[in-house]
Amino acid sequence: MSTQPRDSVDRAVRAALIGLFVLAALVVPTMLSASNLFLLSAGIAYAVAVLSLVVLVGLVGQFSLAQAAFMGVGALTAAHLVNDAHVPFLLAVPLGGLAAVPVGMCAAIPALRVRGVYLAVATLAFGQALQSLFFQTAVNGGSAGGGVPLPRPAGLGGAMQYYWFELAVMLGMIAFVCMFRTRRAGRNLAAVRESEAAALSVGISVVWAKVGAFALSAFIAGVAGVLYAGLNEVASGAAFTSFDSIGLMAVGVIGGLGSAAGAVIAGVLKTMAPVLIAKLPGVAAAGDLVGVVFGVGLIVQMVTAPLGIASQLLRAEQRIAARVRVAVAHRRAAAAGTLEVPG
Amino acid sequence: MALLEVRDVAVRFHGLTALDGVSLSVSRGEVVGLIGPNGAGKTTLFNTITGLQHADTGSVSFDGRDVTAHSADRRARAGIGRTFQTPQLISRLSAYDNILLGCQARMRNGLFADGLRLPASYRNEVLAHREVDDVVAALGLGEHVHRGVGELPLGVRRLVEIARALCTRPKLLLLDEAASGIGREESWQLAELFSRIRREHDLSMLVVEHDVDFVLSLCDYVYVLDFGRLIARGTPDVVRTDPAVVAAYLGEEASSAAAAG
Repeated sequence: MSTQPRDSVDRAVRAALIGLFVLAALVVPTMLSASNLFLLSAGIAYAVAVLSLVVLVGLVGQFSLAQAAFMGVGALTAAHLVNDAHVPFLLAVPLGGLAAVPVGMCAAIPALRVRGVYLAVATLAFGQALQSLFFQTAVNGGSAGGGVPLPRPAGLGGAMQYYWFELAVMLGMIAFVCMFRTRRAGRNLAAVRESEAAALSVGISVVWAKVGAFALSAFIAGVAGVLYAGLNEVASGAAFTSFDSIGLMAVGVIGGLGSAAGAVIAGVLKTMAPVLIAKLPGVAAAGDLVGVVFGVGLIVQMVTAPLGIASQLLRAEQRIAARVRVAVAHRRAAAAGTLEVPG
Repeated sequence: MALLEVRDVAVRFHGLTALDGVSLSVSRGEVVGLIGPNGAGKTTLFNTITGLQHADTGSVSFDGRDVTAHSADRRARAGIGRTFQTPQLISRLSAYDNILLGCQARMRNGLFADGLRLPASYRNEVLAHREVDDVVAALGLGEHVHRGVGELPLGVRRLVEIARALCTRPKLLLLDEAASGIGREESWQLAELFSRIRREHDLSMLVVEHDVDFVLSLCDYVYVLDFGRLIARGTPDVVRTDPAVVAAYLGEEASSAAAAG
């Protein structure tokens, strides 16, 4: 499945859709209540976290259930830097991501030997080990889950300001991923994903491709962790458990791990879907129904679009492009003074 | 000294001997054929030379170096290029991008240059595109390259793989059954292409082929494998009349005739 636009019509439609998305991202938050803006901001942080899975699963075909642990490493590192070492918050964001990189490279070691479900279990165990060994130590807030404070600077103190900041970081990350995926680095990963024999035969190091993908994925997840902790103004290991890793993978699969659009959909869905479902008539009265409707909706979604909501979006985009092409052809024919089909 | 030296290579799969003390050499500029009935161990030998398969005993030297312990990607970078019996093309990339993969190991743009679209990324991509354009023109692939590889017929997929291998600038090109599954006419065009590649690129070739006539017409020297052992070697004229070769192939023809009958 290729998500790259192919001609000028494709490009125009893609640009229009991206424009619509950015417009919505700018307008919608101004209409939200404080609590919903908080949830949307959390959704953006999760979207960045799912983007880290897009790199790993979508681009290079690996698997990880340690992403929340990478988030935790990023969040706790940033919190200690800001809180204890008085490093500026804006500097702590990339540094938190960088701190997760060596951790991600360690998690890549099993990926060099096993794949599929075995890799899932190995990374799950890796994340759980980090959680048990480091996240619950006294210096990180203890097992009660107190956490480490992560105060935001004056310019990012307000909820709306922080949302703009998160949005900018997310768009920057997405741009980076989309930029490299169509060039050498992206082709390397695509080759390793589909045929390691082919990759090796042209001299691509499969080992470095996987380790590099894990490193980048951990960086993105680490930044996502800082964003999430910054939103809460506290970095708590309790927010980055193995269960959270599994949850990220689940929403990622539903959103679609083949593209950045899937990551955005997944992140926003994770926090906003319960809010939207609660607004449905009849559901609000019985609070317990939210979980049921959400669960059933996810199952229906998985059955109708196993490749994720993003794949449905892509098909819709292609239908729009096809219609635009027909319209353009008609207009050209009319301008030429004839509606006859040439031939 | 020979470009490629395979010495006494043995490979066993779970007690089954796939290769048993095989030695083979390819000199610079030489086209060497490797023939044998199905299951003779031809592809296993290819995999041992390229590093996809670990040899239980024996050694492989290439370009004056013992590469037995080197990884497959390192051997590819040293100049061993190959194609696969079943073309290993990347379906989410266009044919053109598949060929570009051949240039990847020599390109110098990394993740950051590509993600931030630094000048280094652009520079390397342009150079690689030029190389690919040349190879595409040389192989006459022009009309096909911007399609998805899934839409291409087998013969063209094989050509795309050969183009990709040529873009690695190999000193030795290993071609695994490039003529199988395509028509007679196409396979003769392929033989002509191989002779041209040999003339225009300074490289040696090791050609695995099921079709004996194809190999004998193309190669300077031929090895014959049967049940993991070399049963004959020599110039095409010598091999053609070798009793052991005739027996191995006649045996196969007799059995396939019996199966068909």
